[in-house]
Amino acid sequence: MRPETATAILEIAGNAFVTLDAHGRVLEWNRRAAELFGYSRDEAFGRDLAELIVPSRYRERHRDGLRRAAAASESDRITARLIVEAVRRDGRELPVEVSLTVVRDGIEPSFHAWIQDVSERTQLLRELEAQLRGRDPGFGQILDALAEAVTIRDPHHHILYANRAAFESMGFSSLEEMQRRPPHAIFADYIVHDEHGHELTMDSIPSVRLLAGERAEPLLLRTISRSTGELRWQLLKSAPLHGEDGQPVAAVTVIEDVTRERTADLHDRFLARASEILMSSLDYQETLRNVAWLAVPEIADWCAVDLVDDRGSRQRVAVAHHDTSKLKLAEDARRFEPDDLDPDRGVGRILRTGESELYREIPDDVLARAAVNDEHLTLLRSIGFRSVLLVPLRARGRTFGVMTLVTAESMRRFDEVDKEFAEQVAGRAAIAVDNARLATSRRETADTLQRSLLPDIVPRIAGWDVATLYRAARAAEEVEVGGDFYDFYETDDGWIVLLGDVTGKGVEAAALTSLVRHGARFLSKYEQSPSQILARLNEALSEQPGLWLCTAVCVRLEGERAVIASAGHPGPLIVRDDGRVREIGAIGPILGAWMGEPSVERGVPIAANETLFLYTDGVVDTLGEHERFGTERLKRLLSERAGEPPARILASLEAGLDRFQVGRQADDTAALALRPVAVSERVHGDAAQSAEASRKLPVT
Amino acid sequence: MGSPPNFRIDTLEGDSGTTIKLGGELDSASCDELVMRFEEAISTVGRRELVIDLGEVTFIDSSGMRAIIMIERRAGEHGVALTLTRPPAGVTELLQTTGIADRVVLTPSAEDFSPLEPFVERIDITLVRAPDAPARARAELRQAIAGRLSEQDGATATLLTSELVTNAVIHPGLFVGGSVGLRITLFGNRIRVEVTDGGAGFDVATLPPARPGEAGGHGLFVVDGLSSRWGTTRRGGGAGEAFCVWFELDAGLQGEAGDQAAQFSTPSRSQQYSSRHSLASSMHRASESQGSTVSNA
Repeated sequence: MRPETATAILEIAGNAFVTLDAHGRVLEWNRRAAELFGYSRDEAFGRDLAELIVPSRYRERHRDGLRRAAAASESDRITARLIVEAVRRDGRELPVEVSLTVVRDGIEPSFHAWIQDVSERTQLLRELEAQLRGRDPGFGQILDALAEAVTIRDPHHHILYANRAAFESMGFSSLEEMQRRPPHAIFADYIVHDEHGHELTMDSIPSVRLLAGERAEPLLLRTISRSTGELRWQLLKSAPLHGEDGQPVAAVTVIEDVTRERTADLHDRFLARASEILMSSLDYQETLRNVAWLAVPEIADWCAVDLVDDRGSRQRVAVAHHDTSKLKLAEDARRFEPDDLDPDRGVGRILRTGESELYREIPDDVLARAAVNDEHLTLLRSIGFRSVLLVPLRARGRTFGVMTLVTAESMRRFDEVDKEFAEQVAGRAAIAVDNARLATSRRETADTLQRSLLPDIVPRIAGWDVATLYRAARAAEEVEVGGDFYDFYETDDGWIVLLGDVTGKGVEAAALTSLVRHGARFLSKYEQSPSQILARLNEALSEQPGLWLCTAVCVRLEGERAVIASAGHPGPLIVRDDGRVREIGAIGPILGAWMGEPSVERGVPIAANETLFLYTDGVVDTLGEHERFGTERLKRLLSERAGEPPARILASLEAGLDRFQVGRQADDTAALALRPVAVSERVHGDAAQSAEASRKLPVT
Repeated sequence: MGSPPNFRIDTLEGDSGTTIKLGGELDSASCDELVMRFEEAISTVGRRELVIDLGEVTFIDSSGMRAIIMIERRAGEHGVALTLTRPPAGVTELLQTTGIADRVVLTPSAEDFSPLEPFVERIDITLVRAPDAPARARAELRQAIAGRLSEQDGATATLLTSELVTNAVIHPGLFVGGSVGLRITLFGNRIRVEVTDGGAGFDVATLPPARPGEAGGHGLFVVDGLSSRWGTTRRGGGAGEAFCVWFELDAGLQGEAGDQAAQFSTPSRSQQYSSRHSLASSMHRASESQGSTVSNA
């Protein structure tokens, strides 16, 4: 385009056009500019624009702006659209909208500006403002009566109007007071996030977007006042007011406070999720950790859980902060805290009183008093405590822990609603911990009982190589005390081996199992006949109230033979090294069912190349994918392993059962493998002595 | 609260008594239901007979066994006659092992010839299918019965075992290899020998008659003539299916084991065996798919 064409276009343009040099002197001044401001092109040319049309009170700001724009680096292409006051030759001021571009094609930059008279639009706003603030009962008073906050903002970032709910909610006593504070400054008084937790700038506010000519959807804001720490949820909806030229001249915003609804919703969701976590596992330390992590950052910036045991020693089971790099702070601070809790302060006090406490504000002198030394104080300060909530974990009248919630960098402050909510969370956590502890205690009892059913060590039996296998039944996560047991008793006639299974599970079954096991130990002092031992046990069980049944196999090991008595028990197997399996048939009924049974026992030779195998029904009842393990499969496995040492055979059996088994183990499994040791390998010397010595050996 | 998925129970009222029909697995999850049904049944006025039908039961664990023992007790207290019917083979062994089998009326299913008597000893041997297998089988048998059978019974059992193992080695195929299972079970008053191989087997009804002068084919006629009863059965299923020929010889056990076994024998047990059949007569009836039995009792 030739220069004269450009000039011609500028002359007929509807808006004023002005070009300035780097120092603000007028280089171009079209006809409309002359009309608008009252200076001809010749009069304006070369003059400082500031002197010409900028009201004296804005001149410095104008020159500053030009200087900054001129100094900006070349890559910054500056375009601006602003509404400012200008002054005409006749001294009358008028609002104008300036669209400014900086051009850098010469040595120095030049400025080009379109200037539009917007006094009509502005007049409209003034009228609106006057109407809203008018002394006559009118629109303004109606708006003041609204619970929702209403603001009207003009394109100059000026709060044209705010109703009572609006200015009061922002901490102002009047509209005038609010108007004296620039909107940017008001915005900066808050930490503002959207509902997804992303921090927002003022440009995202619907009214600002509308006035910039963008679309503006309703926006949900989470604001925290930097001064009061108050958290609020607000729903902003804006609509534009248009001038006669169709341009937006103002934006009306209705601000609905939805804090109560949002908080209730958040709390409900949190409680539901927390309950789910708490019920997910009996590992209460893990679940507490998960709940603590769930709490940050929505509920608090920090969440810690401390538990105390019966002896009063404290254990921190969880510390959570959404920025994991901060966790070290808590860890470091914890090191300064004494293990003996002060019953009048902090966690110690909560444990003593069982009452939760809310510290809205943590002034520095509180930190100074809490700190044990300067280093500790520095650490505490660096955490930046804002507000602290201490809530007891209480169940069945006992306080056994404290949940600590802290706000810091989020600036928010806890209130009574937070306290109530934290008490709800802690209440649920406490019940979960209590239940888990009961279960743990039951499990420990079960473990202890289970151990009491088996000998601590397997004695060394002269002339025999002995191996044992025990697989405890599992119900869900717990070991269930089962009734399988075995034991070894030494008598004058040789060793007695007893293996059995008391029907039933749980503590009662364990007690009966103990009765059988220790009863047999006692009996073996006076009675060396396996069938007689079983007959006496039958009498003892039959005397118990209720129906207590026990299957058992009792074997007296002699030189090269075993005297076997069995009571309702799976038959012992004798496996020869070439794979032949002999199953010794049932020779007596189950114990505890019928009195006065004939007692029978059988001497069975066991050669040096044979292994005696005793087992409980847990082995053959083990459930696989399609069927139970069964006697045939057991025999095949033993036959394939024939000739191997007893410990190897049982290891193969255990591996075989593990492979075969599907799901949890439903029943206990006990098995013994006993093999005569060749004469040359036999332990020489007194059997009793060697057995005594072997008892002192650690379990291998 | 329903029953566990793998358990079924039905109470059927008959003219003289009640039948509780069980199916599936009787374990800690299902045994309470059985006891409950039992208590309901005996509370009915005038009921003096109770049958528990075990025909469809696939598994009984110790809790299930406890429930049956408890029912036996309660039945005794109430003067109710308790009958257990149709126990499958595995269940029968369990009933014998625990001793309940001696305290109730136990009636087998018509097609089931598994002995309702506890064994004294059962020996399982795997023989390599080779020409010396019959000799090894004879040796094992002699060892198993040493001092327990009379000389004549021992000789008969040895001969019959040898014949069955010979058949198993020769018949299943022309090649030698694989294995032959030999199971010897000693009861108080008889011995049972089972020979198992992976061969196609045969049907008693379709056996060709033996021809004098030919070497093969005599085995089964010897077995038929000398055993107390014999038969065939199939074990397992699919690829692992095995064919089994068995015979029993009624012979009182001697010695310690025999004495003890006698203590557990009850007269009722002898009722289980069907009337005499010869091989010739049985050849005229269609044998059942599960197996067939020939009894010379």
